[in-house]
Amino acid sequence: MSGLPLLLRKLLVLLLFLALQTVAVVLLVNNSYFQQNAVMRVVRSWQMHWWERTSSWTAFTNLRKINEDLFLENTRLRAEVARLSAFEENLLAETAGRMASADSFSFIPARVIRNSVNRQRNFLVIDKGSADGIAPDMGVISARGLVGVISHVSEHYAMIISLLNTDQRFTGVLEKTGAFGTLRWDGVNYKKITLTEIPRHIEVNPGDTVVSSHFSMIFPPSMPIGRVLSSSLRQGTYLELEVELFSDFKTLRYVNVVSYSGAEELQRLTETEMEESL
Amino acid sequence: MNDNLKYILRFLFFLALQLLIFQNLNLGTYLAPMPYILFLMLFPCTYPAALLMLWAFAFGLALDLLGTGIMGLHTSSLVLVGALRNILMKTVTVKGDLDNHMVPGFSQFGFARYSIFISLCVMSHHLVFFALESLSLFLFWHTFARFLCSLLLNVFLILLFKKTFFERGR
Repeated sequence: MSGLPLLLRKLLVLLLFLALQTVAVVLLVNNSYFQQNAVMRVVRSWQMHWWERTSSWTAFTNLRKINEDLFLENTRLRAEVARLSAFEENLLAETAGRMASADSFSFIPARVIRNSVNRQRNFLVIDKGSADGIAPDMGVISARGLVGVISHVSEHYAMIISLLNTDQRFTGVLEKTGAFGTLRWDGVNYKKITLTEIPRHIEVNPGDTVVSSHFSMIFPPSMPIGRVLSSSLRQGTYLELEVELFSDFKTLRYVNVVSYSGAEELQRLTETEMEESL
Repeated sequence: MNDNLKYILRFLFFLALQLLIFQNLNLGTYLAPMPYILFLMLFPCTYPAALLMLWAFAFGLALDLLGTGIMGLHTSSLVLVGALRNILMKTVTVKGDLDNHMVPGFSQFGFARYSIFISLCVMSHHLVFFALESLSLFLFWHTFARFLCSLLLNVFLILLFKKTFFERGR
């Protein structure tokens, strides 16, 4: 030991000191409740910091419940917005000296209980039916856009023809220009849909938004559908657009069924007109 | 007499003294008699700090194991004294005072210096001892009073013991 340099010797002594002290403190902590508590307080405070970080992961389990609450609130707010905008329209119409239309959209919240995205004709089933005021041909929307149309209704369940159904056609409108075309699913990718029959003179840029039609009786106007990815000219006559859907149909859980109070009347009117023209 | 044997005998003596007498002496909350610190003060001035710490550790551990106190409390504070003793000794003495096999004492250091030396050692011991025992700032003044009273008592006891039993003729 005397052969070692002084500094090293001092270092060894220091290390020995620390080792012995560590043993002593470990003994102290392991064998006495109070000291254990005091040390654990410090350890716990570190733990708290750690837990705070990890709690964001554990909170994930509560997301479902939170989602549900938010969804119901959204439905309520959506109905409120629709009611108020109808009210506003009525006011405007009255000042213009015209008769006010009594129509308005209302929304029925529902939970998706069955869903598919991997077939050619995809359907969804929701947990609300005729008992809740749902009828065939009503539109279905989610927080992010169109979902589909009710096809069959039982007392407590309803079946929805998804937007992702190769048999079904919808009307889509380019928000910027107002040009409308037919929405059709090619049955391949559940994240993409095709908007076709857009007149070729319409200027379309990638990123343009596609929304629902203003003339629709099943969807409220200007419901978002998707974003244009690319466009191509078909047979030299019309444009075909590839549209990325806003809704993720794979994770769809909550939807709103749209009920339009003027639908029946409007239907009757168009039918009589058609009969007369025949 | 062989030095190591002497140390072992002293070890046993101080251990027995503490366990049989001072541990059982109830002087109230403020006075904790712990004259066993003198055990470390009787090693020669040039005794290596590492060995001193090992002696301190062994003694503290024995006291903790056999005594009624909190485990590790004596060990921890005594190891600190073992580590600090030589440094404190150099602080209180004039350079060149320390001979090879000299044992620190009244005649070697002088009464004042030796008392200061002992006080500093006991102080470092008691600081750790009472700090670890309370391990909180709750009742700080109470703990501080215990520290101060015990310090005075133990310095007195150690000086007394040293003078009575371990002071060789001049």
